[in-house]
Amino acid sequence: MGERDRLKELLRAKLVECGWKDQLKAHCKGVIREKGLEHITVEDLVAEITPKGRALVPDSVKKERLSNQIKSNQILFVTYTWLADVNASVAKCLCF
Amino acid sequence: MKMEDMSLSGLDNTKLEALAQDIYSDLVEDACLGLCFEVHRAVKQGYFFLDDTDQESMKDFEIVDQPGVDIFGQVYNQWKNKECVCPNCNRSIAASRFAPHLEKCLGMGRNSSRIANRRIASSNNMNNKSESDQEDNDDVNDNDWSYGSEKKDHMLFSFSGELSNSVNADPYKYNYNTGINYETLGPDELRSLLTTQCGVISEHTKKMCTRSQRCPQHTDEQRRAVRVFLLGPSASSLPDADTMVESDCYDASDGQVLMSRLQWDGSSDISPSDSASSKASKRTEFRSTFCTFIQWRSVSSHPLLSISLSGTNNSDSKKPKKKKKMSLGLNSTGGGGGSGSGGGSSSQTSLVGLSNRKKKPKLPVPPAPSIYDNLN
Repeated sequence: MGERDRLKELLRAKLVECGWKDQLKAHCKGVIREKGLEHITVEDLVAEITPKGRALVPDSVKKERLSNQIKSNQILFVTYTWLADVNASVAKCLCF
Repeated sequence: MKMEDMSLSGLDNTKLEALAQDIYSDLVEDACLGLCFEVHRAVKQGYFFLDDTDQESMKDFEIVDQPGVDIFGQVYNQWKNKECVCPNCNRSIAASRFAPHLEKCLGMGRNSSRIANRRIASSNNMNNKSESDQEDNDDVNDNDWSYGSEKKDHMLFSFSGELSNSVNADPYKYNYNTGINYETLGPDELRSLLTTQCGVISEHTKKMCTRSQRCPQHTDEQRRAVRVFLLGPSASSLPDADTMVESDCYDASDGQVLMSRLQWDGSSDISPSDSASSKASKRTEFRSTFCTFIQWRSVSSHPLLSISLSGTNNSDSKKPKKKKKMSLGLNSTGGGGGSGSGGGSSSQTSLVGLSNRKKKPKLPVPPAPSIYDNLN
């Protein structure tokens, strides 16, 4: 579980370093100006920014991330599947 | 259990890559979400737009990229060539040297007192060797002013007494560089001056020589003559003739003052050509004074010879006025005759000293007082 957090921090650091974060922030400013400062909500922001954020990630970071993850594949796999199971179980509970 | 089963089957590469891809996208989504929350909070708190400034102020703080100037637009050595005017001495000083100059000028820094004391010591040694012997030693220690110590024109502050040692003494009209005007000085000042300095009065400028007693430009004869001239026959003696006791003022001094004046006038012609004073002139001068001394001695023993003395002395004097004075003086002194206390005339004593030194070293000192006894 700690491994995931480690990876997350690594990715975050990489994104800040390559300027992804600033780019996205500027985009945010644009969105906020459009929408008006007072009436902005988290959902709006998320809806606007997430796809753009995904697209803006530079390829180098993407590749590095992927290779890192593959190296520590087993643990990741375990984590992910566990998470997936959790989600599934939660979903099942909800549906219940 | 389930997990272990899954881990075994998950070793397939393609699946791994797919998984990695999923994990990756998951992480990126988390990052985006984090950013959104951050921005939203900033907006709601009101600090989101603080980074932005208006265009005008942006231009003010733009990075400058010109040669010779730093990124703020300032020149590096702008103050190197500037000059400041010192408020103390009103001189124009370079900016980088201003602080040390002010330190010395005001006499307040660490080294300024040391330098000033050293300068005082060296100038005192040069000018005033005999000052320590004199009774005016107290005056020397007074720091308001002392002779021959101030070389520059500007005033020195003295926060402690030992720093500066002289002020331009305007009331005394003392000007170190060009000499002293003897007419403006009182007798006490003259006396103290003459004990420490040469004091010979220069013919062209009518000023007294301010160099030391051993100044090479003037002879001792001139110094003695000046002293007699200025202070009268009861003047203090030169350091040479210490043996003579200074007694009270000699009343019947007309003749001797005139006599000394004659001698001074006789020697005055020599003083302009100080540096080129030849031995011949010195010898003639000395001869004349020596003759007068001998004649004085003879007068003491033979009052009747006064007239002959005047006659002989006329040949020496160059101006007709002096002949009259001479005769008058001699008559008066001849008439004085008889008894009397030992007059402390410095001219005669120095004459004695002079003759002692130069031609008759065996001339005994005791007869000198006896002469004056007879004269009185």
